[in-house]
Amino acid sequence: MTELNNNARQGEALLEVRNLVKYFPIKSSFFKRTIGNVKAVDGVSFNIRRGETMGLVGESGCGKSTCGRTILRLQEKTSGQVLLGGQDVFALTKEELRKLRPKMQIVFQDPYSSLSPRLPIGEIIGEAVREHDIVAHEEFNDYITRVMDVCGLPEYYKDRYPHEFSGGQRQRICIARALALSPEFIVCDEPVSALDVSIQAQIINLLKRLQSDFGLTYLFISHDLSVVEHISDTVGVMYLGNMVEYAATEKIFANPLNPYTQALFSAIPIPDPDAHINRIILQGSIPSPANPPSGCKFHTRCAQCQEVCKYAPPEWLEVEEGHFCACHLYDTPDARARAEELAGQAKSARKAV
Amino acid sequence: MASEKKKSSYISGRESRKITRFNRRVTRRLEKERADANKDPALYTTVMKNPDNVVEFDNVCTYFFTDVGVVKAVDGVSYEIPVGKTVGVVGESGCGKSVTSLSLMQLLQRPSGQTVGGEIRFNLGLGDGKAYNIVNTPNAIMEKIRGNRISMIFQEPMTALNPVFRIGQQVDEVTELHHPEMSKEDVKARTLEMLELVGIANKEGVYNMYPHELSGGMRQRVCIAIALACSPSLIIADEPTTALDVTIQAQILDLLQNLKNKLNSSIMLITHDLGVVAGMADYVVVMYAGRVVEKGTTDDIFHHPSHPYTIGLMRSKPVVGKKVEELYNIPGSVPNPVEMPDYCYFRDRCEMQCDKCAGQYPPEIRISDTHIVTCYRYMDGGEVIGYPKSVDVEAL
Repeated sequence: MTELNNNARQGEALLEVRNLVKYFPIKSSFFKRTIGNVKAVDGVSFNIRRGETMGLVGESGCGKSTCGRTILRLQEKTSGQVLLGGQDVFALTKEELRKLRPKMQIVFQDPYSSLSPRLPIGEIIGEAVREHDIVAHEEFNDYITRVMDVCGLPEYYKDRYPHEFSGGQRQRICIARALALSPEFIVCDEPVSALDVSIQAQIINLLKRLQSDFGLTYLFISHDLSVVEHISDTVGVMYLGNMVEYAATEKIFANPLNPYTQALFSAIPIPDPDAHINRIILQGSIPSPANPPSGCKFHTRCAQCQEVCKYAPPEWLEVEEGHFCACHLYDTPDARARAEELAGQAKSARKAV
Repeated sequence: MASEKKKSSYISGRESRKITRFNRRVTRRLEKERADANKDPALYTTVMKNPDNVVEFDNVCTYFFTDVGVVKAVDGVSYEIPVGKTVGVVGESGCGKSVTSLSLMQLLQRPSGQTVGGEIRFNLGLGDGKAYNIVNTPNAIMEKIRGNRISMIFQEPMTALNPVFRIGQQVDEVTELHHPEMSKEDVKARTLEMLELVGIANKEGVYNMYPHELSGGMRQRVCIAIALACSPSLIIADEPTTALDVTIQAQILDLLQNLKNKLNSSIMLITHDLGVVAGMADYVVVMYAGRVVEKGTTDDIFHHPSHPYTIGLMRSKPVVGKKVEELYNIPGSVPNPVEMPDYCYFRDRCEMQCDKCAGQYPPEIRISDTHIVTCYRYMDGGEVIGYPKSVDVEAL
């Protein structure tokens, strides 16, 4: 499958996300005026190197799926920049974007609702291939067979319909559909959460094999931390629309810096009855993204909350080499000074009100 | 291969009519037997084998009479739940773990779903080991047990709560139903006490709220409050945390554990997450395709997993802190529930099979005081307890 293997250059950043913001307006019932915003993604930046996997974790409602969809321009951004292979995804015209589409694909969470029940499998996988002229007309059938074979689907499945398959098989079909366009970058939006444990292992192994065979780059969105640790090279942790920590997988699991990351990781159930971990049990639940807390958004649930956390949002700092974190506990002296000043202003403003 | 597969699932019109006729005959008879309201109590009272157990499942067979044939969802399942302990029931979807719990509550979708064989003994807690056999218990008595002595926490807290009633009303309802002698004020006081017990700080406020105003974790707390309102002796938690985030999951599991100790109830924890089981359960039951393949204490199962399926299940889940290159995956898939093979159900996926496996379904073998496995590999080292008994469908 040489035509699929097109990513020889390793190591450079394939995807750059700079300060991505996505707000969903809340409309008033009568005049349809915007009366507020749900700040789903509120300034997120990261890079993914070619051939690597970045895991994006966080609680539900923290904006990880919105982030994935906005990167693919499945919905328009509010501000910020997304560069895929140096091309600004949001600066493209409709026609240019259409040309870029095969390069970036997505695998959705629920394999039951993401496949059209009226199309046979061969057509589901082949539809976009024909649309984008990936292969010549006479090679079309062979090509689909080969793609299905790579994903572990026998050829005779081609004429069957999605309802005839189990969840694991359907997820393979979704992966084959994405892979058929020979993409460089795939967003995997919770691809295994709807599956049983033994089937999960099959799909994870398949994703890893495809990555090494075709040099794919993944953004792996999940709330299952053990799966993320297994598959990712780097991990970003999101909380309420913000990235709170980002580092290489080994680093972040060995030494989580942000108190939120620490709490999140300590909550992972470990299948060993003798494992005694000090669970940090967070009180309360995630606040509403329409009306997030001031300052550090996590301060309402944080055990190590300081005065400054309530007023000044923390800066995104490189605490150790390649280990980024946004938390006042790791402020450099001048970042601290800026935060204190900001907190002072916010405090006096609040008093004035 | 394609045509062969198609043939096996194909049912002709004649066959289909035959199945429907058979189903109607059997389910009508079973329903008639059940409907007899003034049953002789001797028919459904029995004695516990061990009075320290809350519930004993003894060769329970729950079948579904469907249009494509009889699905043996639970087929000869035996295990017990001791007083004050947590029993984790693990298995993939469709293995019958939920159906076992529904049989215990008599909440099966009747008439197509029927418990056709075996005994489910529920301890009345009088100290003399007197028990009801739930399989034969009439509805009038079940209504007094459900929600009162045995209660259930469901997976989806949003669908478990009624969206058009206030939280307070829904918790009140349970107490009112089972304690009609209590006055309205007492019932409300009890509800507020329960809401406080499950860690809802703003109990007065939540009492007057609707379910949609609460987050997932809060809703699940309300469901737990409803389940615990009558201090039941057994709580069935059917995947209580699957719909929740990890951080909320930790809160809820912590809460369940504390409350269990406070009320001295037992918990039947149904889940597919081995991590949750390891942290919560005292005993573990592993189910596969409607049968128990392994049961024992949590230590037995996690430190000495013995059935090939349990071993495979443990190896297929990535564990934080243990890096492996490739995850193990169990080859193949679960056999068709309508036509189960007559040999070991796991044989076709098993990498450790031997010659014996082609024979009859293996018996339960005791390999230590607490550890029981259903696999021929332990035939030499252990004591054979017995074969799971299936009910002959044709004879019904």
